[in-house]
Amino acid sequence: MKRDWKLKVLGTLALTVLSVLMLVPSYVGLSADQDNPNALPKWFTDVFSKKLVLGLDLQGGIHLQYKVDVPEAFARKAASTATAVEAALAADPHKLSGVDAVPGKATDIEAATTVVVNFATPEDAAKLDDALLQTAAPDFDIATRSGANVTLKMQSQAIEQFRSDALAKAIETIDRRINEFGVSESSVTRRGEDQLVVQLPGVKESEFAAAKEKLSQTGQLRFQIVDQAGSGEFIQKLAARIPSEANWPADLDASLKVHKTLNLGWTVRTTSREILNYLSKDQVPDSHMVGFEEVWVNPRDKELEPLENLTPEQEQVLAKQKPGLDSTITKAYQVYYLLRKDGISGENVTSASVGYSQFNQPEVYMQFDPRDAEAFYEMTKKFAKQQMAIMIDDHVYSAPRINEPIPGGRVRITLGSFGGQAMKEANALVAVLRSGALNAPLRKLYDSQIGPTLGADSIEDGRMSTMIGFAAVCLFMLAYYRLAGLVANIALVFNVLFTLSLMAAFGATLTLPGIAGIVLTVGMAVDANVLIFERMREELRGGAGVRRAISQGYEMALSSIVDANVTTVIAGVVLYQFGSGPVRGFAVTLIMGILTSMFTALVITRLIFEWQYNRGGDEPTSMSV
Amino acid sequence: MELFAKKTNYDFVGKIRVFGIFSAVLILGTFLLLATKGLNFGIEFAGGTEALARFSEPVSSDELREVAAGIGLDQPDVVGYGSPAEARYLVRSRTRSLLTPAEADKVRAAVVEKLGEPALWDTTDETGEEIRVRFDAPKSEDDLRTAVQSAGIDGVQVAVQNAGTTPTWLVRMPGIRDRLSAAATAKFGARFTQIERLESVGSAVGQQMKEQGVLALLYAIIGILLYIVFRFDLRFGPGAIVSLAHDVTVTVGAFALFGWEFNLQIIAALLAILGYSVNDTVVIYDRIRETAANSLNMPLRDVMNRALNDTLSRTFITSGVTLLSVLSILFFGGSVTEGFAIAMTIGMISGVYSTVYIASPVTLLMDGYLSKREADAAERRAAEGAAAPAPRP
Repeated sequence: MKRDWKLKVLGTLALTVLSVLMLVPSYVGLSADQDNPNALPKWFTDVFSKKLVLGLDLQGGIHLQYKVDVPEAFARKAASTATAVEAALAADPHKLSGVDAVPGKATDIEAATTVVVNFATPEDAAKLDDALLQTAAPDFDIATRSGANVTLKMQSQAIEQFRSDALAKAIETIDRRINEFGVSESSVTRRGEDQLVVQLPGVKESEFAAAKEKLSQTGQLRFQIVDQAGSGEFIQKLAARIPSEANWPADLDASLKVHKTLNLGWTVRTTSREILNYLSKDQVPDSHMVGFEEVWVNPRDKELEPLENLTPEQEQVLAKQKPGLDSTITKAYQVYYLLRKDGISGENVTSASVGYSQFNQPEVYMQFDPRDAEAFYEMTKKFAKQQMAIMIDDHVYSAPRINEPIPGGRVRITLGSFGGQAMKEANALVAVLRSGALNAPLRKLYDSQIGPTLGADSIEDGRMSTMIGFAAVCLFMLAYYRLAGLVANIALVFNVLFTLSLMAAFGATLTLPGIAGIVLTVGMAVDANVLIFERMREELRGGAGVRRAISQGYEMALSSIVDANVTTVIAGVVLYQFGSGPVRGFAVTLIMGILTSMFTALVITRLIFEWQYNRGGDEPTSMSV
Repeated sequence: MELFAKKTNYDFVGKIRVFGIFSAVLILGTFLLLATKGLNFGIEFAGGTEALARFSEPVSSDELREVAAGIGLDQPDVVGYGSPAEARYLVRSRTRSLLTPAEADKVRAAVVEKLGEPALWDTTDETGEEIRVRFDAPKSEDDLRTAVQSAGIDGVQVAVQNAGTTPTWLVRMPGIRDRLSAAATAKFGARFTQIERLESVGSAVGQQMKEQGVLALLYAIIGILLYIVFRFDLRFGPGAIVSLAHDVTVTVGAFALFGWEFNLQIIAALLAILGYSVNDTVVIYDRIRETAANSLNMPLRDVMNRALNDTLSRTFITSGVTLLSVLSILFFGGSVTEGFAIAMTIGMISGVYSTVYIASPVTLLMDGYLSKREADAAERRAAEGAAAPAPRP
C-alpha cells in the first residue's frame, strides 16, 4: 500500500478523533441534567471550551429587536443646548432679555442638531460669539447669521461621537439589564446602523412579563440621597429575611454573607446578585428605594467562612447559602438605603470630565444645565454632609459625601483612592456621568417569545426528520449503487459528524431551520458521489478497467462538483448576511455541511475505494457500483 | 440498478417552442397572481402579532377565533398547529396593539386635564402600549394613576421608572398576551394551558425585511451569474440565470396560488433553490464543454442533446436523493419547517425541468445570436473593406 494513502488515512483518523472530542462538551451540555454541570474534567473543558448552542426556537426564550431613536437623542441635546445658551446670554455680562433659542425637532439628524437663536435686535445677536459658545455649548458652531437670528449647528465630529456614544450606551444599558437575569447565553448585538438585537435564551413563560418590564426601562442616571439613619434597621430587616437552609427557595442559586465593616458600611458578599433582589422584594417602603454598589472582594475573603478577629464594629451578621452550592464568593455589594423623593435626574448633566486637584490628584468635574442647577443647589443645601449616590437603575457607581451646598450646577467630586486606581475610578465615573444625556429612546421593532415546551417538541421533530431523511438517502444509495453506495453512506456519517463538530468549534447556534439544513446537506452531499459513480459506470461501460474507472470518475466529476458547491455556498453566504435568528442557523449548517462534504465525498470515499481496489496485486475485473 | 436501461436519445433542445411557451405561461401566471391576489405574507413581512396557544385537548378554532376577535384583534386567523393531538393553535392578526389611537388620545387627555401638560409623553414602540411620562413640576403618583384609570381602560399600570423630584413614570396598558390569556381562560377554562409563543413585528421592520429579502435574492443571482460567467463562457450565463429566475418565480407563484404563508423561511428556501438548482445546470454545462471538445465538428445543438442525454440519469438521481431529504423534512419535521420544505420541493422539481428544457435551449439561442452578431460584424468589416478601399496615391 502506498505511503501517501497511509498518511491520508492517518490524517482522517486524527481529524475524526478531534471532531468527536470537539462534540463532547456539546453532547454533555445538551443532555446533562442541570444539577451536574461539572461532569467533564476541567482540563478538558479548558481545551474544548466551545460548544453548540441551541437557538431560541429550540430552547425557548425572548428575542427582541430595537431601534435606537438617534434623532430623538439629538433633539434632546439640542433642547438642553438651547436652554444653556439662553441662560448664558441672560447672565452676566450681557444680561440680554428677549432671547429665544429654538431647538430643532427630531424629524431627522439635520434638524435635530440645529438650534436657532432669535434676538430682539441684530446688535444683541452680535453678543453671541465663539467665546460665549465655547462655554455654553462647546459642541456647537455658529453656522449662519442673518439679522437678529443666529443658527447654531452641532460640529460634525461631535455628531459622530454623540451617535456612537448613544448606541454604545444603549447596548451597555441593555447588557447590564440582561446580566441581572443570570441567563448565561444572553446577548445584545448591534445590527445595521441603529438597531439592537437582544436574545434571552431559556427564559420561561412565567418570567416573560418580568423580563420585558425590566428591559423596557431606560437606565437613567440619577443622584439620590442616602438615608444613613435608616440603613442599619433596613439591613437588619433584610437579614431577618434570609431563609434557613431548609427553606431555601429552589430557584435561588446564591450563597451570601452580610456584614458590616468600618469602611464600607453594610456589605453583602454573595455568589449572585439575585439574592439581593430576593431579599429586598416588597421590603422597600414607597418612601425609599434601594441601590447596590459592586465593591472589591478581598481574594482571601472569597470563601464563605466566618470572618475572624472582627471588632464589634465589624460584627458579622450572617453567613448562609443554598445547601450544596459551591460557596466561592464572586461578588460583594454594598447596600444603600435611599430616600426616593430626594434625588435629581442626570438627564441634564451637560458635561463631565477628569481634572486634577492642587495636589495633582485626579478628580471629576461635572456641570448641570441651568434647569437642574437650581434644584441641585437646593438638594445639596438640605442634605449637606450626607452621602449622595450616583446611580443608574439600582446600580450605585459612587456615593460621595456632600461637603457643602453646591451653587451654579458646577460639581467637583474628589475620589477616595490614589494614583492609578484613582485615575481608573475617575474615568469610569465620567463615563457614567456622561451617559446621563445620552439617553436615546429605544423603539421596539420585533418581539418574539417562545416557551421551552414548544422548543422541546421542535427538537423532537428535528431529530425525527434527520433520522428518517438520513435513512432514506442511505437506503437509496445502497440499493442503487450497492457497495459503492455503502462507501458513500460511510462518507455521509463523517459529513454529519464534521458539520456538527465544525459548528461546535465556532460555537455556532443550532436552530430548527439549521437542523433542516443538516438534513438538506445530507441529500446534497451525496450528489457528489452520484456524479462520481455515474461517471465510473460510464467509464466501465466504455471498456475502461476498474482502476482507471475510479480515477476517471473522480477526475472528470471534480470540476462539476466544485462548481455546484460553490454556487450553493454563494447562496448560503448571502442568506447568512441577510437572515436573522433561526433562518441564519440554516445558512450556517448549509455552508458548513457543503464545505465538509467536499472532504468527505471526495477524499474519504476515494481512500476507501483505493483500499478496496488498489491493494497491489492484480487489478480486479469488476467493481460494485 | 439503473434508471434508464438504454442509452437515451431525446431531442431536448428542439422542444424549446413547446416548453418555452409552457414556462412563459407559468411565469406570466405568477406575475398575474402577484398583481391580483398577492402573497400571504407572514408577520415578519406584514407586521402584526402571532400567538401560539396551547390547550390540554383540541378546541374549536372558530371559538378561539371569536375569543381573539373579542379582545380586539383585527380579523384574526386561527389555524391548527402540528397534529390535532398537540392541541396547539396559531392566532394571527395584523393588529399589533389593542390600544386604538382614540383610546391613547383619551388617556392623554385625561392626564392633561388632571395634571396639566406633561414635559415628556413618549411611547416606547409603535404599539403605544407603554408611555413614559414626566412633568416639570412635582406630581403625585396616585394622581397620575387616578387620571389614567379615569380614561376607562382596564388593567392600566403606573410605575416609577426614574425617581427624583420630577420622576419619570411608565404607564403600561395591558398587552395582547395578557388579554388573550385572560379571554381564553374565561372561555375555555382549565383547557387553556398557556401562550407558548408570541411574536410581534412592527410594520416598518416588516417593510425593511421585504426589501432585504428581494435584495438577497438579487445578490445571490448576481453572485451565481458572475461565477458562471467566470467559470464558463458569456453565452452560458443567460441560460443559467433564466432557469434560476424561472425556478424562483414558479415557487413564488405556487405560494401565491395556494395562499400559503410566505415568511422568512421561504426566502431561505428560495436562496437554497438558487444555489441548488444551478448545480444540475452546471453539470450539464460541464458536459457540453467536454462533449464539444471531444467532437469538434458536431453542431452545438447536437452537442447539447448528447450532453443532456448522457447526464439524464444523474440529473434525476441527484435531485431525487436531495428530494428524499426535503420530503422527510416536509413529513416529519413539524409545522415550523413545513413551508420551507414545500418551497424546496417545488423549487427542486422546477429545477430539474428548467435545467433540461430551459437552460440549454436559452444557451443555444444565445449562441446563435452571438455567432450571428460575430458573423455580421465580420461581414460588415469585409464589406467596409471592399466598399472603401484606401485610396493610394
